[in-house]
Amino acid sequence: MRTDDGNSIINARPNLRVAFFFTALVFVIFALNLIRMQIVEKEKYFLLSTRNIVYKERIKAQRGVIKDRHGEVIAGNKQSYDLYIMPFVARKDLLGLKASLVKAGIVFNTGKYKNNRENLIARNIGYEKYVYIQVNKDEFPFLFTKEAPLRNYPFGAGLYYPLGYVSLATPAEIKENAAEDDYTGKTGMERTYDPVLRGEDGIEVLIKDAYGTKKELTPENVGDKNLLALLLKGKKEVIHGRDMDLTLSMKLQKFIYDKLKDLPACAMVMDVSTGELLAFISTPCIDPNLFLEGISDEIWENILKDEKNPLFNKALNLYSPASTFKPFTALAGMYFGIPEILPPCRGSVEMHNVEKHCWKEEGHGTQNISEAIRNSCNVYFYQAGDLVGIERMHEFAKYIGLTGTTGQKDLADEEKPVIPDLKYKFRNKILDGRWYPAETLDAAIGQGLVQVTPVKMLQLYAFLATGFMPVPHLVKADLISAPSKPEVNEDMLAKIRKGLRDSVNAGGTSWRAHSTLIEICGKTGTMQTKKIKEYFRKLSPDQQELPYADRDSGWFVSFAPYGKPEYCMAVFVEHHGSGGYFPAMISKDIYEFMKKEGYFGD
Amino acid sequence: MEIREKQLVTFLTVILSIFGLLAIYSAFSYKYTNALHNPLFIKQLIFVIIGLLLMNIVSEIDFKFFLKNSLLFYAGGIVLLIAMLTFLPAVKGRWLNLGLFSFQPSELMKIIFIVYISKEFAAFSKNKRRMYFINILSFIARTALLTLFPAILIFRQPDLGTGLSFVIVYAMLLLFIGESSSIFIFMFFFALGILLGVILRFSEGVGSALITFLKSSGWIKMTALVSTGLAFSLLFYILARFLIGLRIKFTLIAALSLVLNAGFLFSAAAMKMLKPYQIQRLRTFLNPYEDMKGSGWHVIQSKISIGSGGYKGKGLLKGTQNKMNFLPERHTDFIFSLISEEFGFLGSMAVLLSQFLILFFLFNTAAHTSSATGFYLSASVFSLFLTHSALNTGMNLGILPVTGIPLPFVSYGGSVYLSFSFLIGIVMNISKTTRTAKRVDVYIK
Repeated sequence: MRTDDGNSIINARPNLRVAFFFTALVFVIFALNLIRMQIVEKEKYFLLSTRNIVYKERIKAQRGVIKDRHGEVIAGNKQSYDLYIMPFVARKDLLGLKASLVKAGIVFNTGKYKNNRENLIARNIGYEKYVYIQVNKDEFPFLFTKEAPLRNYPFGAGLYYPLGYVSLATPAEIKENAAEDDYTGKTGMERTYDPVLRGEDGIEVLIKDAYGTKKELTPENVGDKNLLALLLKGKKEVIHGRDMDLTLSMKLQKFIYDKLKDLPACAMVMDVSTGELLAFISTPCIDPNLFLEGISDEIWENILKDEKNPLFNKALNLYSPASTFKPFTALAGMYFGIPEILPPCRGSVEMHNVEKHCWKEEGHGTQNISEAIRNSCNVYFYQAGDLVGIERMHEFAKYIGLTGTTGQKDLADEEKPVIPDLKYKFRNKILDGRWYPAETLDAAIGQGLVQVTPVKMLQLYAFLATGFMPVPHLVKADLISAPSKPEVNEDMLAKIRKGLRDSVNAGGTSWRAHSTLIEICGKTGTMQTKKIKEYFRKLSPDQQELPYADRDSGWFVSFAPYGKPEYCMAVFVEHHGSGGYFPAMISKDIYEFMKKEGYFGD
Repeated sequence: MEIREKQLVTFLTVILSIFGLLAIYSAFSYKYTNALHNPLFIKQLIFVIIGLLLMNIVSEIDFKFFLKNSLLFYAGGIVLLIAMLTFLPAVKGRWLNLGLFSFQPSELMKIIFIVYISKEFAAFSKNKRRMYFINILSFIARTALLTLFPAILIFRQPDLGTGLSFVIVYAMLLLFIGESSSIFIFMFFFALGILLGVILRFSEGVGSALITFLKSSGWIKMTALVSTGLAFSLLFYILARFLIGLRIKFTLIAALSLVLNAGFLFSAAAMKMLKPYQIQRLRTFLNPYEDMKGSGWHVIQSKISIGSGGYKGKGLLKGTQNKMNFLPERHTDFIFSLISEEFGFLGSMAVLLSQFLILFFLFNTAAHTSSATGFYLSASVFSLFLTHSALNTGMNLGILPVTGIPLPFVSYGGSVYLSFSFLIGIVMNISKTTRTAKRVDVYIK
């Protein structure tokens, strides 16, 4: 066949059609791919495109500020500066950067840096280094600083108890609910109130472009209403930690702490009517600011080795109350109606085949209850205790509320007092489990198995002073109950109060606490570490020559003023001689300080 | 060609151009909120208008006019390309700055090449002695050189995509010789060799050994390839002849092996000429997730853009991949992804369908023309358009390697727009002047 222009047509066209068939096939494949991507897997790709632009920034919640009763900040926040490296550039020239940072004296993490977010490389670099980085910005083009609140304890060690401290979250806490750079409360009130104080971090949603430039989430920047709504869902308002007001009075706290800081001791001052603790000290203390940047191994080793046990909150620990327990035995005796006049004290007495001594060899003679308390006569209380019996002593302790803890959240880790009953040894598998009558005698003078925390002794003396059992507390808002009032005859309490007043003011064992400014009522106690020391005590009353662990520990628990009590106080000094010396004297100083500073009404 | 068909093709071109213009406006909306302040938009708009005019004017000129002096034009084009590589002040190797605007000589070369090579093929189809094997071989050798010469010059610019389109157009034209079937066997083996070369280059185990081999001198390479080719042929011949009893000529097998090895050597040599970033592009094709911020980034972001557009799209100027700079080269190579993101499945299908209909028009013209030159001209324009639209769309969809080939009538670029307008115009004229009522596909001796 010849065509119009005379060319011969070759047989190429079947091939052309094959080629077109394959072309159509290619376009069908394209169309199928478009259907797969834009219709079937639309959500997946939309999510990816959204993930591209979303930038979530965490807004750290400010930790709640803790204030004392006068509004003075005792645990606040200060500005600190964290150093970050920008995303994307993290890998570039890291070595050179490290060199210049080392030159600037900045220690930094050498972890793996991620490309898709800012990487923290050094925490709390300090104001000077912050300024250095800002001034030499050209030298560190990839670095920037962020301000972050950091816990600050202006009074340092003086408030280690009861506040405790915060430090960086542990792996376990991070797993639970904390972020890597969160500070969490580790001990004391910082731990107890951690959920309240920490608050909740907020999330700010921004959009970022491919170069990491961030923009606000505004309708103009996002461009699409639905996408904006979707992005806004990721936003979360920051809930800052709640501020807390404590009942502490820093003026008093500082005064007492300065007197006690080098001793293993504790001291508390409580408002007798409300139970508000104005001072709460347990020494020795650790500066809580040390924990913020991680405590050095050397200091930590020293703390662990310290025989004064800085890690124990002594106010919440169990000790033998010794003679400070005698008023309780006296009250229990009166409550169960045993005779007030008991056989006279002759310096010693033999009961249940054991010879028991009074601290005064020549004896106290015949005494009534008030006199026995004034004299702190062992023999009188051996007899009284024997008549009451251990079962009834326990029963009475339970009745007035001495056997349980205060139950206050702000006094966490408080130990439960031990006022044994007949079955106590059996229950706790102590020795043969049987209660011997001679053990009741030790219990009656606060030795032996009886163990009470200083804070419970404080509560007991508040009860003796007012007839009410207030609950010691540090946070007003968290008081679990109003003061309870166990029904005890007011006359009995009056006799005890008289004994306590005379103990200080009328030649009793607490005479060193006598003050001309204020009428103090109180009772000393001496916790004997070793029986053998009955002999030594006579030889060296100040005991400074004895090995540390063999020295006596002293109590002085008191209230003031007589007649219209306002405050009660417990001072316990471990291994520093008997209660009549240092504890009594320091208690007097504190009361006088309080009087001068106007703590007492009228 | 009926007047309706010409109008339809113009209409399709306008659709593609409008999508392109909208996408170019959107791509720079972060900088120019008003499209008329956007210099790229204005430039493209001017080129669209000129291009449509050019297409209409060319369609009115008898296509045989362009065939005269085509060899002279070819020679001129080659000189220009050499000048680009040597003394002309080329921008990024590709553009020639002419003051008011810059243009790509490689795009001009496309027109010249297609006209000239079509003329060569048409002349061959009229050759009475074309069935002789030696004639076919010499024809292929001559035209291959005519193709590779400009292609390599463009490769060197470096412009992988455009250079590749020359080779592909030529390969498809070979398919349309429609002569002896043995030629296809040889072609097939040659292509197989090329494919083997590419695959081996990027395979983990053989790749490094191949690179060391390629570094050896030309004589060693030649000897190695010829000897292995012959050895394998001999082995295959013995197996076929004595074990299976197949009656087959040893010379044929040997010839096929040598063609295979030649293809292999060709691809290996071609890859040696590739720039590192072009090698990276090929590597990316094989493993696009190699490095999130590396060359795989383009493919990943392009796919995210397309998929996230969904059915209706995010709306003009609302594509986040576009606005927030995640989509790279979004006004040129990845413009299809931008359209898919902002206009959704409807938009991307409109673009895809428009392209397909233009291809159908080109195919249909070739199928109906009574002129051999007309046939080869429209078939080669068909091949060129197909190369561009398929490679570009495939690259955007992440199923073909990133080659940097623009999407005809859509991507930003005046030279490409004009060259395609010109070529489509020629085919319009072919359709108008040489169309026969029936499809002519009978082989006449």
